[in-house]
Amino acid sequence: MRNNYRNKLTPLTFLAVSSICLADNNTTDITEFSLDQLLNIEVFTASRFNQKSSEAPSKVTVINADAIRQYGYRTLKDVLNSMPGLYSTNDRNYSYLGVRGFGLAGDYNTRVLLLLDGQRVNENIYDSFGIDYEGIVNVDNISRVEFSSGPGSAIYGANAFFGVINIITKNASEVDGVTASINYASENSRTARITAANTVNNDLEVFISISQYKSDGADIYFAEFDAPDSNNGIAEQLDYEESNKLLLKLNYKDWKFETAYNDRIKGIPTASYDQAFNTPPSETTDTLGLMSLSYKTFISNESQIFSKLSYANYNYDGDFTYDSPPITINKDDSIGKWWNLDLRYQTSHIDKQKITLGIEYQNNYKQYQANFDTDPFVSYLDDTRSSEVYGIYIQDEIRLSTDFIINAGIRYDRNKMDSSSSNDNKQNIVNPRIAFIYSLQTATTLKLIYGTAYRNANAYELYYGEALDYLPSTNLQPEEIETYEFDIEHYFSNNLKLTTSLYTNETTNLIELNSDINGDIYYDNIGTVNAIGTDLEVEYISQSGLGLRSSYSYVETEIKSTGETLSNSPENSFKFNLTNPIFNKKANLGVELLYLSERITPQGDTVKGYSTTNLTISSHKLYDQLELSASIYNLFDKEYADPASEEHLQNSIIQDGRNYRVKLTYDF
Amino acid sequence: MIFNFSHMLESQAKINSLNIYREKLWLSLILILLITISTESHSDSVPEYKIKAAFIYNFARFTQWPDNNTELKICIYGNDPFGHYIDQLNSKKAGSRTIKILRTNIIKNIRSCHVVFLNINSSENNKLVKIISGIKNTHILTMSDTRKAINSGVMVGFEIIDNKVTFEINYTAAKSAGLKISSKLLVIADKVK
Repeated sequence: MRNNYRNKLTPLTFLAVSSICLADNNTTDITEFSLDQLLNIEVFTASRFNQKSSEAPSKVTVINADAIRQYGYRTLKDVLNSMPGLYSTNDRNYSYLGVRGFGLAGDYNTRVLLLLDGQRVNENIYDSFGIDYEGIVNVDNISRVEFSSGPGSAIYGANAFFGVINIITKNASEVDGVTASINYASENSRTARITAANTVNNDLEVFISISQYKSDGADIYFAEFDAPDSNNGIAEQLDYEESNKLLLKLNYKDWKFETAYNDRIKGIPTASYDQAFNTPPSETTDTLGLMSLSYKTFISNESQIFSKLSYANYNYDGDFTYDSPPITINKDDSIGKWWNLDLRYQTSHIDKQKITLGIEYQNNYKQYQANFDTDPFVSYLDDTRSSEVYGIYIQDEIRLSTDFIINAGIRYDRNKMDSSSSNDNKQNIVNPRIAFIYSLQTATTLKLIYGTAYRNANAYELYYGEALDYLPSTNLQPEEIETYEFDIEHYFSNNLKLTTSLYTNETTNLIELNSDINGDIYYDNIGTVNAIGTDLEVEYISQSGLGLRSSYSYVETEIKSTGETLSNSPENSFKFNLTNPIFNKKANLGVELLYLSERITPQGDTVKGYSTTNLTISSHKLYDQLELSASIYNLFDKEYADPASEEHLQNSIIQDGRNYRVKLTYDF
Repeated sequence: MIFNFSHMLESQAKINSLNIYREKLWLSLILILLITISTESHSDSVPEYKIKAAFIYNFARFTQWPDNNTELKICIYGNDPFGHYIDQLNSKKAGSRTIKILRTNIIKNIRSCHVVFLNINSSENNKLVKIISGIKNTHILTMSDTRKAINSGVMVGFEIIDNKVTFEINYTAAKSAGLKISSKLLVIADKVK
């Protein structure tokens, strides 16, 4: 303690003295510096803040690999949870992302678009993507995650409803060599990863990474099942999880090839969908493979073309256990296959304008869903469909003056909903977006954005009704959203940045699980939801390495017909992240505090607000090659729960208490 | 069941009031931290691009071009990282010439510039190479934000080392473009190629 005090004194006195001369440098006219002075003035580089976000037609939050390391983020979920306005919900089978008050329990991340290095990850059965261990990429292979909040359908088409997440993976030069990493965490969870990358002859870049994760999981108590004939409410050895990942990237000149694979098995301890409690095998397996080949080249000094051909394959296999009796396994299967062609032309040929013109075609040539009992075999659903999407879009960034940019875009999508049937159900949708971006003195940027987006009912919502006595919902209309947003981005100094946004949006035709008087579940266009809210974020980076990121979000949602608040919609959320070098800059301390206010469950109850604190100490390179990190998550062992969707008997699902992780990374 | 539930609610309420207390504690801690930090931030060092703008000014002063134009055009290609710092140079004198600042995204517009700062991401190296080859046989002093750019034919490559702005000069490239960079600058360059 005493030592700390002394350490604090020195920089303070130093700062007091040095601020006098520094203040001088800051006000000096730049033509008055001598060359000698110029060489010796210490500068602060703002490039660690993402510069390009200032001119983007939406608010962009970026979290990079340093933060992932410093805060001990385990999966994409941890990364997203620390962004303003984002939160996640876990039902011990999947994790779901909530954005600005929208996180309807039981939706499968269908209202956010996830891109992996630009390729669409949302599959074509549920339009879902994984954010936790079911996610497509190991978080340690991520260079940065960008989240553009607000509707993005004017460029990206369907599902870019509340925002677009783009994961940019590390390139070969960021790894350069072989890295092996292992970690061990609570509940006998362990991960091993090997990444190898190399650049051959300056032209060919090779990157490959494989990783495996396994967790035994804890035995979990559910009060709702507390009875002698159901093991007193304890689900034993059913929270297990296993996942394997592969990422391979090849870059050759203007060509890029990338393939990503993930499979994950997760036990279901909750007895969802009226399953028999504490009865294995109750598990789901999700497998996703993505592959893309892209080519990007300048066709003239001002113009470039970009093309990408991609293919993807998604497999879901659920084993659900019912005590009929006897114990019967009900299988829920789906297979999604699609390919996609994306062509883009970008030119700044016309003075002060940057025009992007694009076409996109996606062929969902297989959308298969089945549900059956294995023994005796009874089929409840065997449904094969296919569909197509044609999109065309244009965006123009017009620089009216050095301070003022108008960014306008529009996209037309033609959805052929069911190519296999003669019933020619086509949906045509136009989505515009316009943003006015005005910068005052480079320190302040003002943005006024109007945006729209849509998402179609997915194959699951449309065709699953047959199985498990769901009522059919073939008349579902696309959901649409209209948003107005006003953002201010202000640099108080080169290392202190404040971002505020005010937004209001209206979602119409919202597709939500509904139940009729008989208690039968079906998907329905429930109606209209209005939301109004604000995100406030402060970022600070000091020269000494201290980094701070803190945000507060407030959002009010209202279902128009009833005046009620949406389920799983926290009114307030607060995030605080602090990182600081310790032990003479040999290591780093990362502290994270996340707070969410109370949320209503779909069954009308509330789960209380909670805050969790996570702590990570990570070493820098020891002996040049070794990196160590230790984390405690939920430091104060806070007991909290997430709202559970309708297919659960539970109102809410209890989340993890205090847990630990140690990690070792070695560069060869 | 109902009794149990209300009992649970009661104890939950107690926990909640405790939680609110804990949250307040956290909030006040954070506030104190924010205040400490904001007072510290007054003593910031100088923005990187202010110093780079000052260096550009000195390159304009200490380089000789073969033309006799009364104007000296300094161009920023790509997104402008300088902002108002570079605007301070507008109408200032560099020798007998008057400085004019120009921002552009169009390559043919830079052909009339004396100095061009190419703000091109290091991942777009082929774009950089194309631009450099496109302005061959002109008398433009090319600058960029990385030392790596020197290898692509850029004449001045800045780099931040130990929080200070340093630069490397590609003297061969400058000479073949008919530019004479003063020894004042050559001696303080980190490296001359």
